[in-house]
Amino acid sequence: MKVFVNGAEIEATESENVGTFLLKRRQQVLRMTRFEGNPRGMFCGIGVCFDCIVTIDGIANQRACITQLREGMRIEVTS
Amino acid sequence: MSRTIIIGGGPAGMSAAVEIARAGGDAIIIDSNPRLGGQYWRHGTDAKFSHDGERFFALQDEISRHPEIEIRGGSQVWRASYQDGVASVWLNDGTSLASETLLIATGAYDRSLPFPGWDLPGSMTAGGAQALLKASGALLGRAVFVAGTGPFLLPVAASLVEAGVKVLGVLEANRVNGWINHLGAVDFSKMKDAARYFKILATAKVPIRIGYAIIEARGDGRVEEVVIAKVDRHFAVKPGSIEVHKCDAIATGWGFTPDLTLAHSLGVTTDIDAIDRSVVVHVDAFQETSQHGVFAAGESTGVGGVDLALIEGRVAGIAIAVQRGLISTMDAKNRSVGLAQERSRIRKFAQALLSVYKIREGWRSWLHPETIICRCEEVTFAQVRNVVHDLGASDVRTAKLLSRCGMGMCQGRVCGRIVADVVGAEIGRSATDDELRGIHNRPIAHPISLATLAKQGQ
Ligand SMILES: Cc1cc2nc3c(=O)[nH]c(=O)nc-3n(C[C@H](O)[C@@H](O)[C@H](O)COP(=O)(O)OP(=O)(O)OC[C@H]3O[C@@H](n4cnc5c(N)ncnc54)[C@H](O)[C@@H]3O)c2cc1C
Ligand code: FES
Repeated sequence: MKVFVNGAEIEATESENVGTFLLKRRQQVLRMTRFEGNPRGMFCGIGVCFDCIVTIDGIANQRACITQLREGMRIEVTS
Repeated sequence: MSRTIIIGGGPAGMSAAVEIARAGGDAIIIDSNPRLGGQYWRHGTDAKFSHDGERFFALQDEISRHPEIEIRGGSQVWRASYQDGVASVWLNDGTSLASETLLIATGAYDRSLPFPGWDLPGSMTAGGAQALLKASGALLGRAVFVAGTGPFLLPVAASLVEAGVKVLGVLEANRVNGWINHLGAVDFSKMKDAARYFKILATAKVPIRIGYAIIEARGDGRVEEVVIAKVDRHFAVKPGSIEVHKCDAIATGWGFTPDLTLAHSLGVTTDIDAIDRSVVVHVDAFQETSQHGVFAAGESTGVGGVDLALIEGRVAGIAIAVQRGLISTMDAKNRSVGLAQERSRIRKFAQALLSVYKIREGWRSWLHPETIICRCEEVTFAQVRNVVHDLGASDVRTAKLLSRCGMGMCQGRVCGRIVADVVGAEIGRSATDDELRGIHNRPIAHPISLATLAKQGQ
């Protein structure tokens, strides 16, 4: 299965969520905060805190920790 | 009568479904996770990470043998309401369901306390760290500290060790010396579990430090070091006890908060727990809430762990079967043998744990003026103080409105209780019961897309 992270094609083997997929690829920082521009990553891991929000297939504010990877998915994170 | 709606496919929801199926009834289990199991049984396809697997597979097998139990995984309930004896729920796939019987089995999430640097990447909740690991073997870091309070810190640290993480220390803020005996006196099986965790931690030479807390995390854009201190009985830092250690992640946990969002929308009566003042769903001996036909089981009725969730789920499932006329009360009695006693035994045990692992008010002394209180809206401790002392907010609601605390995307799930306690302390009183209940008032439980909304309007 192929997914795209910031445009780069990456082979994904497991069916897992976007958050753990990125963490395993050393992407701890997922976004910058709106007001102060501070980095944030996953905090609660179960869809409660909204700290892990990323843009998926053009839709902003998707929780990485509860979104399953899908073939062809395009994920935008802070690089 | 329509099939029973079960919100939450964790231990409570699964065991209720099994009892309903055994009585010949039908039900639909809705869960935002694609798989059954809830927070406790969160395992990947790799069975290595499945924990206490036999009980899970027994329940799952029995459910799958009953086609009249539908599982709607990957589906979130974003709204619920109750009118004229009928409960309705709206799902994020644009559909809605209604029934005369509904079970709230929505569980709990980690309770967090703020400290300087808790918002840095690499700082996670204890349950979150466990969830990543169980779901897909993802590690929050390579060298980590586990800290906070509660018996849950031990299994989290033990599973991290087993997964190859270097656990630099387990810090328990409460004075719980001799607590293992205390546990054993009440629940022998729990003592066996604890002994196993201790063994794993001892073999890996993980220091377990009682009366210590992480009071700060620091780093350039992510956690690089932590400040650890010895704390007194009230969690205030003991002078001269500060240590700084390098690490690349931390997992902190302070117990759990029952998820009452949907319960609140369904208009059920809630109680305030006498020990930790958390808001819990009020249920009778049959797990029925104040709304006829609406039942609740598991952590939403008070945090008590997986064994209690399983029993409450069974009691609720049997009572739902009676209410639907599927079985007689006599039959129900035969199916419920021993359940009520076991439930009250575990509830007592849970209350005892809550009082040992209580959050003491001295944690507020760890805050710096610039410490984030509301992670979503980036509101600092200084700003919260400012709305109380300079703008004259004299209750939690006003302080929230003026500071935007708790008004972000998580709708106060993370900071709701924190803000109530901080504002209460600043105005010189504790949060009232109504202020605590107000934390869970979220008319829209989860954000939905406009497309879903449009679909639902048709
Ligand atoms: C992150 C985390 C990890 C944990 N790990 C452990 C552990 O390793 N060991 C342990 O002993 N205890 C653990 N616990 C404690 C946990 O509370 C267990 O005691 C047990 O899972 C409780 O069972 P339950 O059925 O009450 O709720 P849960 O297991 O929490 O199940 C509730 C279910 O409801 C679903 N849900 C909630 N709201 C909605 C909604 N609006 N729409 C759709 N679905 C919804 C959730 O997705 C969840 O699957 C953990 C808790 C958390 C929060
Ligand atoms: S990490 Fe909290 S919502 Fe994803």
